[in-house]
Amino acid sequence: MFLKRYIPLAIVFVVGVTMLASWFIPHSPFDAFEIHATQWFDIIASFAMILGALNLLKIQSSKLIHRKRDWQYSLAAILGFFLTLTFGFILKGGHFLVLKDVGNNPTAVVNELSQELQIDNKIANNIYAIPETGDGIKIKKQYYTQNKAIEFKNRLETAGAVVEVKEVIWGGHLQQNNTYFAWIFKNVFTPLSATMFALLAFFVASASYRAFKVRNLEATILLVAGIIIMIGRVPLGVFITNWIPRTSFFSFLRLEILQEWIYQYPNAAGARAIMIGIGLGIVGTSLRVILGIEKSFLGEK
Amino acid sequence: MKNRGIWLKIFLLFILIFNFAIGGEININVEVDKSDAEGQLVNMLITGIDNTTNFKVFKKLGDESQWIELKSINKLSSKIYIKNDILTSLKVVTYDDNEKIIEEAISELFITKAQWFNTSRLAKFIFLLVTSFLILFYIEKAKKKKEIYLRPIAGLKAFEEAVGRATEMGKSVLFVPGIMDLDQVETISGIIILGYVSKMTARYETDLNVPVARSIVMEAGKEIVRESYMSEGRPDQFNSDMVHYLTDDQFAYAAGVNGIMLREKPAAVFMQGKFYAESLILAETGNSIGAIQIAGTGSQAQLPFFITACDYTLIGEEFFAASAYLSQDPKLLGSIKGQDMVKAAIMIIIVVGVVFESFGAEFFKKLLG
Amino acid sequence: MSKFLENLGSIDRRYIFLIIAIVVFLPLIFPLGLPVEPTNLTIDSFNAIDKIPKDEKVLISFDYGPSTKPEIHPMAIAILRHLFTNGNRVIIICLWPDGLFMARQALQQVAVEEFDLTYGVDYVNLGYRPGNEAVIKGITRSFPANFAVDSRAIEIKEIPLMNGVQSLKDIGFIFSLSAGYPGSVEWVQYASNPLKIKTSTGVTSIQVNEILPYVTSGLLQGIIAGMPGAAEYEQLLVNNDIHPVIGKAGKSMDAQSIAHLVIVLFIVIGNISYFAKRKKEKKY
Repeated sequence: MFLKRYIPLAIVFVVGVTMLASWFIPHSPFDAFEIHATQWFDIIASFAMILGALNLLKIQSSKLIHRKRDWQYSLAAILGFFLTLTFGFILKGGHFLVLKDVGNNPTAVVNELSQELQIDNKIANNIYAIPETGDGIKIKKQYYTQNKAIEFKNRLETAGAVVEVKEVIWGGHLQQNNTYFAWIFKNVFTPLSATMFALLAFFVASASYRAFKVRNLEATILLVAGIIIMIGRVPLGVFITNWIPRTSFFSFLRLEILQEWIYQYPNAAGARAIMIGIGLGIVGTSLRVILGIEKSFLGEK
Repeated sequence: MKNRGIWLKIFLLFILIFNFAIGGEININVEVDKSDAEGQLVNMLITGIDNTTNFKVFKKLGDESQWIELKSINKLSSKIYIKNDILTSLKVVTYDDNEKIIEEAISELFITKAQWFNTSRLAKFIFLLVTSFLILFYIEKAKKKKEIYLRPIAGLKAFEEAVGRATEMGKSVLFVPGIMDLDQVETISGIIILGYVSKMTARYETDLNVPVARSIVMEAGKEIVRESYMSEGRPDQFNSDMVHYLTDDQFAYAAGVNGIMLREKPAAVFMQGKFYAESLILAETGNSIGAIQIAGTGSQAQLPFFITACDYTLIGEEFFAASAYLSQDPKLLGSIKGQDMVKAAIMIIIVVGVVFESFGAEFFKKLLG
Repeated sequence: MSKFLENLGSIDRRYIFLIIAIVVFLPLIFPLGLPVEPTNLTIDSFNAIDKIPKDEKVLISFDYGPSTKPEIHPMAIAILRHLFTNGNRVIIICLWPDGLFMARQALQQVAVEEFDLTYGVDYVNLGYRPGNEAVIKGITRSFPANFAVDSRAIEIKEIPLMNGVQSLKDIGFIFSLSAGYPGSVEWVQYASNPLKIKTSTGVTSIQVNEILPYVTSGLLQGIIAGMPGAAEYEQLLVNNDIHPVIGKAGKSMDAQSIAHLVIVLFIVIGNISYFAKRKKEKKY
């Protein structure tokens, strides 16, 4: 009981009060406590991710093994999981060449480089045909497979250059181009994310169609304001009311001016009021949690 | 006659030396700026040269032997940030056009210290104390069995109705605790509400499905659901896979939850926590399967989407008051009352502030920091 | 007729989706050339950036990912064009891991291909650091402590642009390209408000409501609001002879205009049906 109830509450209290105090006390050790505490949380969350991954695998594998309903989706989930894991931890890609010496026939080497990199001979000459400088010059092209890199290396060596094949450093493969991870990010993750976000356009249309009904006065005001903002925010609104001179008394009836006014005044006022309420709610909940008044998140009554 | 000539030479020599001393003396003054609560700030002033002179400023910390150039200093009067709690000195060096040193000057040793209290945040500290006092005061009042009235909130009353509907239809309840981690207060509130909903599902023996986007939330959710089922005397009904992890990514999570909704067609969907752009995707999909939807969030930008697509929405403070409302615990109800008193005080301050500002009296704004 | 009007209110949502898809697709193929008129919020942001002195360094935070790329990436391109045209030097950091890829793409297009600038002298990409707002709080004290190397693993002390930049206090202007958390709100709360550094932001349309109070209270200098805002900024670049042609956001505004109009029509149709049903219920 003591371990389960009082120690967690004590930890919450001490850490909560210290974090609050650190905002008001700029003197050390409080000044850096906020940063350290946030970083500790990030470290814990990062390790906790392993738990989540194992849980995901466990549930999806169970569905797959027992051929439960829609097991095919579980197969897709598991395959995607292991493929990304492989590209993140095992297969890096990102092979590149380092030109150590152009050799006795720089023209031939430059020709090969300009052909492979698809740049002008003159530019290739300026960049690569210089005397040997210590570690060599990195050739600005990366290959997914080592074989492709070796193929180009052989062509350069035939032309007389001294070349070395290297691989992108561990960790760097997550950020650089022409690695398997970058491929999966660019060709799978990016289009899928953009697609999900694009669904919002369709859902906004169906939600508006269903929900914007003139039931009472407030709903009518909401509807009219919504229409003004929807049309006024886009060039169509400018086009519709362009005939009203900007300098005339009635310029406020121009849709783009009207929508801006609605956005900046009644809308911002309402948003601010809700923000104050939410802020107070957060303060109240946080105080209840820190002071141990709210214990249900520990499973207590 | 001979004596007068000697005195004249001495006098001229004195004038020469004096002029040389006045014209060539460079000086660097450093004053610790006490207005910065974090310390670290000093005001540096270089005299004896003008803006056309080439100069560089260096600093030396403590016992270090090397002077470090401060490359961003190019004005004779500058604010410089220095490490706290370490004796520091500054040096100014002037150069000719060939980068040859002409002369240099070193400041006195100084030390910057952070304050123990950031006085610029005094108003916020007082607000915190007043808020805490009011909340604790009303909690004490509520403990003395004083009845506290909370206005009925339709969304909270509908919790039991929603779970009941799912039970009657033989379908499951889907609970989405938001997409953020447990460091967000909204997620904590969502998890607390999960505790109450899981008590109802335990009581009515309804299936509960809680897909989460963060591993720590998964663990906290499992714990709270387990406790709820135990407290209802249904430990056998609890299955740790009720609360399961999907993915951290926002839209991948939305896709996963949508998939669950479309395949399993839950009769009741609770969306309680912190949401971002995926809120409308979830709410519309829930609407398309005919589920009763109760949403609650402190994410102000997502409220319009939930209000449009869901049957009930807990707006802002209502969401944070849910735990007090559902439990009817006097202590929690008292804290809500205290919060309301703070809100009333804020409203008065806003009105007073607007009146003062309208008449050009800025002291009230400055008082509040 | 009344039956038809009543049925109008219960169109299958899939027809709505199909119509939306068509009306978005067609203007992209057959542009209408509707004029883009900059609004005050965007103009304020433009002016704030235009007034940045040349010797002040600008920090841009790429806090968005592929999902919001269509809305925010055009803003990033426009901002970079504006800054580089004015001769400002840019330091880039990313609080989102995906932001690094977005930053790379933007810099490749503008800094490398359009302006042919020198990395490390005219601009630098410090990359992504985990920690959300802790990173912001950290760089208010020390850049090197949080960004020991940049995104190319070059040590920060070897980058000429970072000379004299010890902390955020040495930065003249902050611009946050934000799609959520962490983003503009955190930059205002932990950097621009405490340190009094001028800040502007570009956000998704959904977020504008949340950020607007910061703009009206002066904590932010203007805001580029979603894709319409990005189109307005592109138009401002054209109007001020900074860039000759309008960008991707401007070209997409025809599609957005027609889509909004169609949504309004759907709302009107829905209300016609609602009134028809109400009339019938009153009758019986």
